[in-house]
Amino acid sequence: MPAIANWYEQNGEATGSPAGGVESSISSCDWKSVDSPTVPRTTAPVVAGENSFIKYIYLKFTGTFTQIANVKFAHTGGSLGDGFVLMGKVTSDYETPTDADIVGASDITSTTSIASGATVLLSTSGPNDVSPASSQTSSCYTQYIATQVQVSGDANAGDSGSVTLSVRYTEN
Amino acid sequence: MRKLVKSNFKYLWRANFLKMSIVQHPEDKYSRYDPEAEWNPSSFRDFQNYFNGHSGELISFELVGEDKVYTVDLTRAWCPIIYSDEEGRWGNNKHTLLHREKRPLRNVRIIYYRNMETTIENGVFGKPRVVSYALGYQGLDDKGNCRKKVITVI
Repeated sequence: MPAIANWYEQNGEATGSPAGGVESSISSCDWKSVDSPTVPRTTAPVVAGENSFIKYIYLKFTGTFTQIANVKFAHTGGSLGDGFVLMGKVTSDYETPTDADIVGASDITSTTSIASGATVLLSTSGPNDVSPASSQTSSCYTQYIATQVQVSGDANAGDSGSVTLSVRYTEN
Repeated sequence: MRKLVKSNFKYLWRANFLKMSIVQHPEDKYSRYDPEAEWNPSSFRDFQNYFNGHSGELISFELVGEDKVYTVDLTRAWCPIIYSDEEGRWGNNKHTLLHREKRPLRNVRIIYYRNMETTIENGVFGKPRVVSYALGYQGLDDKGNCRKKVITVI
């Protein structure tokens, strides 16, 4: 079987060195007005004129593989709609999630091919390792993929559209 | 065309050495697979381990599918050839030369990996899937430059 790639999210106050949050295994991911892996979007919607809390998600590779390498991340399909800006960055630095504008991120509202996506590095110790590498030969984590939705004041009422985010990697 | 057993992989690799062949386990398990471990090397580690001690004995490395085989032919190891063989509807095979190395190479090594993708669609995580298979070789020419050729198999 291919390698197992499970998603995780970190939340809460940044503690330790290198800093990290509280880890949760997740099967879905929504941008919300709270820093929580479980509260549904319908309970904590992001309203016009506000930002979502920053999401820190990452993959952990386990199972069966000899090497994982060349990880890329991109917004590859769909749109959240007019008035929505999707910001994203790949980072090893965890900061306590807030709804302030995400610092150092790029506007990834427009789709791009995964081949042109952002490079994501890997580490055997965690997503916040200060020296991640482009490949690993045992169980490993990606860096954080940090994203935030910023909603303008004139965004249409109602729910947002949907997007496809992709992670591409090689394994053998 | 020597077929391999059924697997969830569309293609399994087979490494043919002078004295033996190593075939990818249908579930990609390493020969010393530990079911209790969080992580295990894949079958490719078995190939790497044997190749490291018998690099001069590798004759070919194949990607074997249901009715198509892609081969890196190292019969003349200094001059690798990549070709495919396809089983026709009436039993006639089609042989296609895909690439022939033009310069003599040394320290030739096999390149094999799967291009994988996992997506988040409308907030829901999908399972990783094989997008394509990459097969090829790399080696050093007489000036010490690395030359490599990789083909993508969908």
